[in-house]
Amino acid sequence: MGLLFLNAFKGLKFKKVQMIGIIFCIILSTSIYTAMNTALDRMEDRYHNYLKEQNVEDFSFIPKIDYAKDYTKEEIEELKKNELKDIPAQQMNLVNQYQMTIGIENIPNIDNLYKAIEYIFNNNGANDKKLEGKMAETKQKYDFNYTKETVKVSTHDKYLYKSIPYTGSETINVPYVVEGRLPEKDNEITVLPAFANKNDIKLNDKYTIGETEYTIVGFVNSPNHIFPLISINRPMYNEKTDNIMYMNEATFEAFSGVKESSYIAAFNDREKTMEFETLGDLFMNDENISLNPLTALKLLRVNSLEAEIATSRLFSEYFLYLLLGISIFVIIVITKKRIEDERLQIGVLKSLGYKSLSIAVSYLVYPIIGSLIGGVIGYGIGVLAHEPLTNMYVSYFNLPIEGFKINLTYLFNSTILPLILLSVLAFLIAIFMLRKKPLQLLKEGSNLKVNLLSRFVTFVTRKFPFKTRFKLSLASRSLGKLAIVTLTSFCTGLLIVLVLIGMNMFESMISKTFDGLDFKNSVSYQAARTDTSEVDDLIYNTSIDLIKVKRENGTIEEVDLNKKQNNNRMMMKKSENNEEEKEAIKKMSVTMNGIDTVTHYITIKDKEGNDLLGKLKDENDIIINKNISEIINVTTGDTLIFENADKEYEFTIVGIQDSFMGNQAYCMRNYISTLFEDTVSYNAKYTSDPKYDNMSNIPEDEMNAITSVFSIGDLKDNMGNQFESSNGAIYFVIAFASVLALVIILVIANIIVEENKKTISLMKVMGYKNKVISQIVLNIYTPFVVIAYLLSIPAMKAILTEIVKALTKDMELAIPIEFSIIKALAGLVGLLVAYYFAIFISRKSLDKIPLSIALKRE
Amino acid sequence: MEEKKTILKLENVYKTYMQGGTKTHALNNIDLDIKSGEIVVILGPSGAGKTTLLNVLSGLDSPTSGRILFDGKDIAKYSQMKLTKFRKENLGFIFQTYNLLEHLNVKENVMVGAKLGKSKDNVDEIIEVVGLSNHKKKYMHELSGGEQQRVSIARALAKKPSIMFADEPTGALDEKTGKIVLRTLIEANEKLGTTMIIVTHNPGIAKIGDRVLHVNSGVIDKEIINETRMAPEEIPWG
Repeated sequence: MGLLFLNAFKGLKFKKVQMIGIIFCIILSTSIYTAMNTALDRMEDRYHNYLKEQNVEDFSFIPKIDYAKDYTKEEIEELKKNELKDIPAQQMNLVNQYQMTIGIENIPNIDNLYKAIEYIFNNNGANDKKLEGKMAETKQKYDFNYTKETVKVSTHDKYLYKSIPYTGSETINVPYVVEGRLPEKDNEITVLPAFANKNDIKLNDKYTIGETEYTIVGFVNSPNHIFPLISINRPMYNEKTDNIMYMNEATFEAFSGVKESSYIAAFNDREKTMEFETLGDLFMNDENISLNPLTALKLLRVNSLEAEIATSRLFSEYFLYLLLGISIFVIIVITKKRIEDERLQIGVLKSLGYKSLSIAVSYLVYPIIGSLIGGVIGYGIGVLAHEPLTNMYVSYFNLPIEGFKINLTYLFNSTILPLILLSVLAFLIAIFMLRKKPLQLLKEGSNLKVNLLSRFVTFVTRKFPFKTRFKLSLASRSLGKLAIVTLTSFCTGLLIVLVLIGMNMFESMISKTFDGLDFKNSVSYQAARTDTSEVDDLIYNTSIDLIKVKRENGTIEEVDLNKKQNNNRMMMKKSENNEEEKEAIKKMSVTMNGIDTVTHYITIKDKEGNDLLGKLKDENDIIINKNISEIINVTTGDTLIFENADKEYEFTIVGIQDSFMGNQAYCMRNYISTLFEDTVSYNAKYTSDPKYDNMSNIPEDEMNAITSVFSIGDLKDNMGNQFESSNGAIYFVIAFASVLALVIILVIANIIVEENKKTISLMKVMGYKNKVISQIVLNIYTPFVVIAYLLSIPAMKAILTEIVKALTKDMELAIPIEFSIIKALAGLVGLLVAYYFAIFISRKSLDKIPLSIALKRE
Repeated sequence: MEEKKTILKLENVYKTYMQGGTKTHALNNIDLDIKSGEIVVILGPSGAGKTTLLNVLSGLDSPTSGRILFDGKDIAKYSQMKLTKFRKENLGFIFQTYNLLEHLNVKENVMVGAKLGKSKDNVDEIIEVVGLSNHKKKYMHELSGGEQQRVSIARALAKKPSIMFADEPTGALDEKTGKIVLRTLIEANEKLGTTMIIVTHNPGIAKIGDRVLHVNSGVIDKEIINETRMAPEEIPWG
C-alpha cells in the first residue's frame, strides 16, 4: 500500500494545476474561517466580562403611576413649587389641567393628558418620591438595583451628540476609560475613541459645539452603547459624526439638547440576562412597574454584538463548508480521472491479488496533501489577517478587546476537518470506481463509455455543424466535470446576484422610503399644539386600533391577525388561554397621521406614481400604506373601523400609498385632532426651518416641549454613507466569487486537456491549428456557464424573498427585492471574464502536447 | 522421469457470452490438465478463444459451466474476494502492455509484487533472474520495451506464484527483444520452478514449451508434446 501511495505522491508534480486548485480552495475557506473566528474570539471573550465589570443595565422600566388615583391635588401643588417650578408655561398649563381632574371620574380623552403628564413628570423627576415608596418592595422581589438616567441629545451641523452627566458615583453603566480620564471641571468632556480616531482628535484638544468650547480630557466608551445607536431617530451609526460625551453636572445643565430621562435597572445576579419578550412577561402584571418599550432599543445597543458574533460565526462555518464542498467535487473529478487513466495498471494489480481497499487508499494523496498544506497555510493567513478584521469590528462596536490568543481548535478545523471530510469522500469514490473486476479494467476501450446525456446530445445535434457537435459531445461525455462547472457557475452566480440585489435593495429602500419627503426635519412635541404655520406641514399623530373591515358589499369582518403580523408585541403573552392575548390579535395598531390637504413637503403616491392627497376630501376619507392593505387584504372602497377609548370611528379607503414602513394611514388633521383634543391641533411637524438643524438655535421653551427632532437629510446621508462603505465589502465578494470560479474552471480545463491529449494530438497531426483546437476542446462549457448563471438569478431572488419574509415578519417593514437587467449583465460579464481567462491559461498546456501521442497505442 | 503433479485441471468447461445480441461460444467442452513446473503454450489464430481460455484458467473470468480445479478445489465456485486471495497466493500475470507504475523505479515496481508474497526479501534475486540488476534505480521511461516487460515479469515472480500466466508477452516487441523476454521466462521456470502458461499467435514461440495446445473456435483441436524445448534464440520468429 505504501508503494502505491508513493507512486501517487510522486505523480503529483505532473498534476500541479489540479493540486494548486484544491490547495487554493482550502486556503481560501480556512483563512476566512480562521480570521473571522479569531477576531470574534477577541471580542466575545471581552464582551461578557465587560458587561459584568461595567454593570451594564439589563432593562429600563416605567413606574406605574395611576395618574387618576396616585396623586392628590396637594401633592401636585407641592410638585409645582419644587420639581416642576421651572417647566415651560405650556407644560404648566397641562399640569394645572391635570390637577383639576383629580377626583373626577369618566373624563373623556383623559389618556392623552395622562401621557403628557407622565412625560413631564418623568423628565423633571417629579415621580421620583412616589416611585421610591413603590420600588423598595419591587427591587427586592426581582433582585435588581436601579437608577434614573438623564441624557441630552442634540444635533449641530451634521453631528449627533449624546451628553451624559458624570458624578463619579455611577453604579449602573459605569463608563470605561480607554485613554485619559473622566471629566472633573466645567467644560471638560470625553469623546468616544472611534469618534476621536475618525476626527483626528487628541487628548487636551479644544472642541467647540455651538458657542461653547470644551476640553477633551478622555476617550471613554459608554458601556451600554456597545453599538452606539444614539437615537432611534438616527438608526445608522456613523463613527465620524455620532458621539457620546461625559461631562460634569454643571456642564450638562448648560448643554443644550433634548432631554431624555428613564429609569434603568441591573439585576444583582450578573449572570441573569433576559430577552425582551421574557422581560415583558416578567413585569406584565406587576403593580409598580412596567417594561419601558425603549428597553428594546437599549438591549439592541448591548446585545446586537452578540447577534453579530453569532451570525458571523455561522457565516464563517457555512462558508468553510461551501468551499470544502466545492473542493470535494474537484477531488472527486480528479480521483475519477486518475483511476480512469490508470485502469490498466489497476487491472494488473487486481489480477496479481491487490484488494480494492489497498488501491483506493493510494488515491488519498490529493485530499491529504491538499488539506495539510492548504489548511496550515490557510490557518496562518487567517491568524495574520484577523487583526484588520478585529479593528474593523471594534471601530463599529465600541468595546475594548483582549489580546490575541492561539486557538488550536481553528487549526484543527482548518486541517483535520478538511482532511477527514475530503479523504472519506475521495476514498468512497475510489472504492466505488474500483469495484470492477480485473478483466473489465484490462479490456481495451472499457473506459470509453457513452452516457445517456451524451447519447441524447448526439441525437439532438446531429444536424449541427461539426465544431458545435464535437464541443457538445465533449461537454456531455463527463457528467462529473459538467456538474462541477455548472455548479461552480451557479454558486458564483448566486453570490454575484446576492450582492447586486443587495446593492439594489438598499438603494431602492432608501429612495422609496425618502420618496416624497422633501423637508429637512421632523419635529415631535410632547403635547398637542394649536398654533398655525404657513410654511410647515403640521401633523397630528396618534396610535389607534383597527378592529373591523366593512367591505363595499356591506359585509363586516373582524380583523384577525392569528396567522399574520401583529405589531403590538408588548401585548402578546405566551399563555394560550389568556383572553388578553386573544383580544390583542384581533386588533392592528395603526399610526394615524392627520395631515392637511395642502402640503408643502409631504407627497403621498400610489404604485403608479399618482398623487393621492387630492383624494382626501371628506373627513372620513383615509389613505393607507401597502403594508396594511396586504396584511388585512383591503382595497380602495373598503371601510376601516377603528376603536379608541371604547368608541368606534369609520374611515373609507380612497388610496393606497406605495410605502413599506410600518402601518401608516393618513386622514384629515382637522377631523382626527378634534376627536382627541379640544380644537384643531398638531403634535408634529415637517419643516425646513434651519433653526432645527442645530438644537442650540431652538428657543428654550420650545426645546422643553419637543420630544425629538429627526433630520431626514442626515438620515438619508447616513444610510447612503453606510451603504457606500459596505460597497467595499460587496466588491470584495464579487472579486472573490470570480477568483473562485477562475480557479475551479482552470482545474477542470486542465483535466479536459489531459483527458483529450490523444484527440488533441490527432487533430494537430491532421493539421488543425492550436487556436481552433482550443476553441473546440476547451471552450465547451460556455452555454452551461451562461445557463447556470441565468438560473441563479431567480434562485437567489426566491431565497432572498424567503429570508426577508422571515426577517421582517415581526417588523413593520417590507423590503423590495428588485434586480435590474444592467446589473444582471454586469454579473454575467464578470463570470465570463473569469471563465475565458481560465481557458486562456489552459491553452498553454494544450500547446505543449506533442504530435507523437497520437501514434501511441493505449 | 518423475510424474509431474497436476496443478490445474479443467473439466467440461464451457464459456458462452452475448455480444450485440449474438451468442458466442468462446469455449466448448474443454478438458485440460496442467502439470506443475511445465511450460504450456496456448497457440491459435486471432479470435480462436486463447485469451478466453487463459482468463478462465486463471480465474479472471468464470466459466458458464464446468469445473476448474486447483489443488483439488473448484475455483469456479469462488466469490470475488476468495478469487482475489487465490490469485494473490498462487498466480502471477504478465500482459502484452506492461502496465507498470510510471512513478516508481525498477526495484520499487518489483517490490509492488513482492509485497503480496510471504517473503519480501527476494527482490534482488528476482531482478537478477530477469537480468536487470544494473537498472534497479531506473524509471520506466528510461527503459526499452523489452526491459519494461522484464520488469513486469519480475513483479509477477516476486511473490513466488505457483503458476505464471503470460498473455502475448512479446506482442509489442521486436524479434531480438522478444527472444530476450522468452529467455527470461524460461530461466524463471528453470530456476524457480514456476509453471508457465503462455498465450501466443506466434507458432515459433510454441517450440519453447513442453506442450502446445492448439485452440481453434473454442476447442483444443490439437495437443503437441515437444520432446525437447527449443532455446528462444533458435526459434523461428513470426
